[in-house]
Amino acid sequence: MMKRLAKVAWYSLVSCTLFLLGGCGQQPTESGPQAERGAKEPISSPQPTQVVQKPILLAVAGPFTGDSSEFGVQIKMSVELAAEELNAKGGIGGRPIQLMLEDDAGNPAEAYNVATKIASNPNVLAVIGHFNSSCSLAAKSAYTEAKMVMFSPASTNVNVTKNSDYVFRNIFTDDFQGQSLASYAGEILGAKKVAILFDNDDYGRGLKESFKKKAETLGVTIVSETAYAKDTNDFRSQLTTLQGYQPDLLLVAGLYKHAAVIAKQARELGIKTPLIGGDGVFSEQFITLAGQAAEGTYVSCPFLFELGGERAKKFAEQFRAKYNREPDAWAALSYDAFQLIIKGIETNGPSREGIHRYLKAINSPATAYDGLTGKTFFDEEGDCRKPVQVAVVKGGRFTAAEKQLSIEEEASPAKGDDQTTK
Amino acid sequence: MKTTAWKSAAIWLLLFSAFTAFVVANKGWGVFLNYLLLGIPQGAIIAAIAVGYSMVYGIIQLINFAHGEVFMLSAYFLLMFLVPPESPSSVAPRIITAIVGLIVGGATYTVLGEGRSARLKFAVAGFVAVVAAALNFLLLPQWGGAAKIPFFAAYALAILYACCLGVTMDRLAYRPLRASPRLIPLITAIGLSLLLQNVAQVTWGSASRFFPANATPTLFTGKRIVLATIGNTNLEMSLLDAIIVVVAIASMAVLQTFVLRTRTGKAMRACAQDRMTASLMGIRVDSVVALAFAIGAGLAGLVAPLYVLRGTPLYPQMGYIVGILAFASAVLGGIGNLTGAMIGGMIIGIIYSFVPLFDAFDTSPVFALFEKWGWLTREGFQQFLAAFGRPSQYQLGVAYAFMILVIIFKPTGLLGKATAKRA
Repeated sequence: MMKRLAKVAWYSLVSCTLFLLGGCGQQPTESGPQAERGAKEPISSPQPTQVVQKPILLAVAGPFTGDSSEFGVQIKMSVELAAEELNAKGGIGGRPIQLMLEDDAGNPAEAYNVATKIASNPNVLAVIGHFNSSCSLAAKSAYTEAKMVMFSPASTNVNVTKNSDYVFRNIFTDDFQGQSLASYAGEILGAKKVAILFDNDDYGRGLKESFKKKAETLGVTIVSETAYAKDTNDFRSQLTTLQGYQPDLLLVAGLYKHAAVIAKQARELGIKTPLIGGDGVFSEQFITLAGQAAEGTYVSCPFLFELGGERAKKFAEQFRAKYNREPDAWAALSYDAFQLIIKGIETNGPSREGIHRYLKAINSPATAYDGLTGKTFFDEEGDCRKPVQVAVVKGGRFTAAEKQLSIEEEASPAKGDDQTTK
Repeated sequence: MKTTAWKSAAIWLLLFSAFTAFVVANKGWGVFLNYLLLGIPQGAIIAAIAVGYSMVYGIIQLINFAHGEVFMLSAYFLLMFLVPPESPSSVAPRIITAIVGLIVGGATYTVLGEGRSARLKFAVAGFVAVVAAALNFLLLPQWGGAAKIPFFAAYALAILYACCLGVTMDRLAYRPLRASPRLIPLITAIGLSLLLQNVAQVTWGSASRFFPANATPTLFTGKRIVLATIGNTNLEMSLLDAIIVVVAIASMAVLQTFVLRTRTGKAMRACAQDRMTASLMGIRVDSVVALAFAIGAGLAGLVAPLYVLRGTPLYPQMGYIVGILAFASAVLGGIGNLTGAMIGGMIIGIIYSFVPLFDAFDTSPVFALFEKWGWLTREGFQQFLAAFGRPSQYQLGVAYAFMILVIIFKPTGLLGKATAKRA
């Protein structure tokens, strides 16, 4: 009897707890359902009342949910802002812009599905996206078959624009980024000995190789190269090994997660060598995670609002006013991508072919489009050569480094390396 | 018995000396000792966790795979007192309250023992659970606020919660299965490990975290002490590492004394030898098992925050790798044997830290010697690196390979079986 009672008592204690937990779980999240709806249906931007003409449909595809949603949401917000601005002015020849928002969740398989869906809708003229290189690679064949422009504001993998006439981007490639980092390290920071820690994946290896190639031409010695796997969280021994070489600079070719741990453990070991990293490290999370240890880290990034002109400042203000948060570099790049596509429609009329023809014609500095993020023009692959900007962590945030790479300095040696860049 | 132990000790000592000689010949004493200084704190932490595996296995022959998760959660228990929730509508404080109520209630219920009426026990446990949950809720920092209790008080509470978690885990998940075949609680342990990982992920999110710098006592921030200078290499150790080693050694010494010198310790040893006979002699086996879980979890709770303070990020899956290293150490030392677990932990920790040293093998004199003899070519070595990667990527693999090697030659582990003292 007693035993059974004890059992009943136990179960009720457990079930009470589960009930409490269940109650928590059911709390509606404010953003969830809305984001879901936003991703599934095309949403129309507010339109002036007199408009009755058929809207022009553009697609935005990116990770609005999942691991990289932080970036994807910025892209979506930025394009929505741009479309709203345009529609308030009456759209293109009286026709408003309507956006079709598709979520790829940062997953290549999903990206392909989304791409098929977008490409099979004849009313969609072009797509801005995708974010992750792996997604862009998976999706591009669908757009190419449908002869539709895919404009990525974020994918940096070298292969994204290859073997397709219809893929464009207004961000640098990993190759170019690695070369620029090497130029910065060698010419501006004056480093003689560089140690490398790299993530053993496509991004890490690619960045490391291009850095190394360029560094050798500048007379910078790579004193050590150490690979690490994704689940590594103890770099102390590796750091002790490379400290033995007394490098002037430590390149972390990987993501902010690992860079933060490396920074923290290096400072804990008393290693004062400054860190330098690619755009994988360019995330607020890096500073949050590494704290004081992040100070003085150099990071290459596609765009810094500080270095942008008046228009970039105005865009940032509008963005803040509408969404109550800071725009990131990809927001600015997406804004430019949207404007380029709109220019294409204005010049050649609303057709897939017209946009493609327009972007193909922007192929030299003379015809370049001058946007928020500087001058954009494409080579025959659809890649764009924009200077890499360098940020340094100071006072707990990314600020523009005092000295930036000048375009000439970068452009001239880069030309010699054309073979490797493309 | 004595002679085999001496023999194996001599063999290991010999191997270690050979290794030392090899490294010293290549790099010099300074480098060797610096790596040793990195490995010792790592080993001390792994040893403290390995003891938890070994102690439970010694008594009920269960490999508690959820032990790594206890380690992870106890670091989060400290974090929850230091860091406010991410948003005002955050669900975390409510889940935390529920968890604290559950584990404190469960532990109280278990501690009240067999003799009393179930109704009374339930009433008391329920009351304690509600009070503890409410108090805990009041101690959590509010949204946008600062920590309400000092670091060390939070640390002590985190250790207490870890003990409660260990006891509750045993009471809820393992005790009902005590009579079942051994495979069943093992599967339960794996399930429990996944469950706890997911609870942590729901509550604190999947991102990596550190303790906030402004809430950490200066004692634990990276002050470095130079122990000695050899040639032009400084032998350095951070104050935190020194604290870790001292804390680990002290707690192990206390534990050994407890197991060998007290009546309760004797009861534990008796249970380890033969549970059935022990219960016939009037030992409350269930209480002894609960105590073993509490001690194991408490040790994990003691070292977990130190591990995070050392600069290893805290995230829900973190218990897995640490747990698996500790498990390997427990097996290496002879699972069920406490001294074995401590030694095993140290060995694994030190090996783990030495692996990246070989990244620079091609610049060492030994490499040059091999090259001269024609055993190796530089191109061949580069090709090997390109195909298989560098040694430091195999840190975990080398630690495991070492464990497997030991088990092949001595299946019971370094100190297993030969001694009857299992607890």
